[in-house]
Amino acid sequence: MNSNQAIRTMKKQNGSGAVQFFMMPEIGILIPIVIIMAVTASINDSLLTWRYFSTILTGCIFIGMASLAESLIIMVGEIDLSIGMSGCLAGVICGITANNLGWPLIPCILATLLTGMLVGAVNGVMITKFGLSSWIATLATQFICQGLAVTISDGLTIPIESLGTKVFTRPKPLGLSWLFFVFVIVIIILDFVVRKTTFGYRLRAVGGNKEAAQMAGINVNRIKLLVFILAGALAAVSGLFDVLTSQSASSTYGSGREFRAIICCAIGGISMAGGAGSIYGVGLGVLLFHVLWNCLRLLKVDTNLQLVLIGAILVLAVLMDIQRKRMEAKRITQ
Amino acid sequence: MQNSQPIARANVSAFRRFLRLDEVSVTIPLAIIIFITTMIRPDFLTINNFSAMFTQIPFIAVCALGAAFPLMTGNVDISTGRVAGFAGIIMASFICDYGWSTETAILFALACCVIIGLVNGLLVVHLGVPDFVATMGTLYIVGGARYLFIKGYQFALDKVPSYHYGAFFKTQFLGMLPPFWIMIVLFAIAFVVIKKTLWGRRLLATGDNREVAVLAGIPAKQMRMAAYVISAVLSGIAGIMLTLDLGLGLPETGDGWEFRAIAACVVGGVSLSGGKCSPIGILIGVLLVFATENAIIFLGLPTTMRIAVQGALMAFAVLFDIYKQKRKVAA
Repeated sequence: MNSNQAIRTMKKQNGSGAVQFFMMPEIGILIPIVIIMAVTASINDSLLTWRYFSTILTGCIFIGMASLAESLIIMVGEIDLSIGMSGCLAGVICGITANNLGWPLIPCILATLLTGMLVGAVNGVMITKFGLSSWIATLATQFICQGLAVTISDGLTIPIESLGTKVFTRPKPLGLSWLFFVFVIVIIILDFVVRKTTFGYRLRAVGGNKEAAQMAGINVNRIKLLVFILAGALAAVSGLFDVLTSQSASSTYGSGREFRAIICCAIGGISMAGGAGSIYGVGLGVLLFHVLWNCLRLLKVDTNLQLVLIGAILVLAVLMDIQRKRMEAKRITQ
Repeated sequence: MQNSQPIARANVSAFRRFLRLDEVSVTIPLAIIIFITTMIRPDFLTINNFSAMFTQIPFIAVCALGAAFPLMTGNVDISTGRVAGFAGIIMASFICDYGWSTETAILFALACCVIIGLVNGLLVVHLGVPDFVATMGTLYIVGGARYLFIKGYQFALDKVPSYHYGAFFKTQFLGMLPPFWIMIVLFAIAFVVIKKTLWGRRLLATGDNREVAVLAGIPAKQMRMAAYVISAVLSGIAGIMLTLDLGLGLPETGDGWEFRAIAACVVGGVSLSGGKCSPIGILIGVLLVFATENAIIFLGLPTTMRIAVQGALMAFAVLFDIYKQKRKVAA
């Protein structure tokens, strides 16, 4: 009751509710999605068919999974450049265990996840125990993973027919692939973990203010290590999605994915300074990124101009976040 | 008795201090790699092999020197490689399509680099965008913009009548091609500026401890902006050099240079926490990166391991830097 009253008075103090509503990261993203879709649909009506939209949704899962991993890392105040390549290495491991060693499905998937977690653990140990800055440590693991993936796979494409996972590749309910539902379930679980559990609370506390978290008795290094391992596992799932969708493993998958993941996080309202953001926001950020990409394609915008636009959107999204924070700070001081 | 002890200690520490110099600590792994590879494959340590290496080194070395400036002030710039490609393409495009003279085109390309550097600096220093994300934005913008100039074909500079640098870039001076000497001159200038001028000291001080630098009256924001501009200009020079050297304007020029440049800086003893840099160290770092790549080929290891070895090299270099700093604090 008390807290309800507090919230109500807070809302009154904040002035117009509409402004606050639009300042919510999740809503802020939906507006550009709708505008872009409306503009594109008025020129090319194939966008609004469910057939087309479902292919956009199905295409989201690869970068989407990587973005979820990246968002956790950014929330804890670090950055991970190894996401794409650790997923790639994990996928190659999946291909090797399935094709060359002939393992059945479950051990294969476990080996894939373990690979990702191992890379995450190496990152975490380098950053927490030895004090490397996160981008250089993860850049090193990115190189190492890429080199290992190419070497292990010998640069070849490895088929994984022996797993009998072809059923996953056929689009089923509502024209979406099964993997899309896995992605949605992971989003829901992660959102619960970040918002409702002690671990999630600590994660945001560490990202928001490391010193304060330390003083509050949170084991900062342990939280960071756990987050890196979790992100490694999610990156491995993103690599597994590639392998399952294309029914083959190759060292060419996932290159540059870490950058796109960072962009999706920025669009999705994850604060680049750490400590703030929501998992649903990331999901919407991924969606906006793909809608935008597809709209530009439908509008026949030059591919290279698309890169320019994406860079500009990244900068804009981060500037918006900074502006949002300034307004919040002003409100608090008032 | 009381006097002799400090003197003895001073002698020992002078030797140790020499060993702990950044340049020396980079040279040791380089010497080890050269030694081991030469033991197994004697033809590794030949003039032919090394001069072949030195035809490729100058471009990345100049790029690495550029990347070192923001690192010195405690920031990072990952757009260097794309800026190099961008500068090369702009120059080639204005020579081939618009008939500009080579010199004007070079100046125009460098002016564009200054603008890119200013944008980077503005975003990071004045607007507070995290350095990594801001320069990633420019990486995409500049990387895409390169292709907008090229319109699907490459620029052949040799076919333009007013272009007369083709022969210059093929003549050897004292056994080395012009890019090598341009690199040496740029590194010499950088050495003097960083180590011997007040401005260079201020740059390092800004990276070492920003608060203290501000308190000491150093315009830290201005220094960090300048570092970004220098980074963009030096990368631009690297890209222009490669374009002139090839006689071809290729849009892919500079792809992936940014991380090799940073790797070379890190290996060469540029501290990522800022405030420490030696151009000679960077040069040896670039040499180390190339020698390792070359040694992998000579030793018959799978060439696909090249990237992995570079990554491991980089991680070890940073770990070593942190170890050294911890010892310094303990002492």
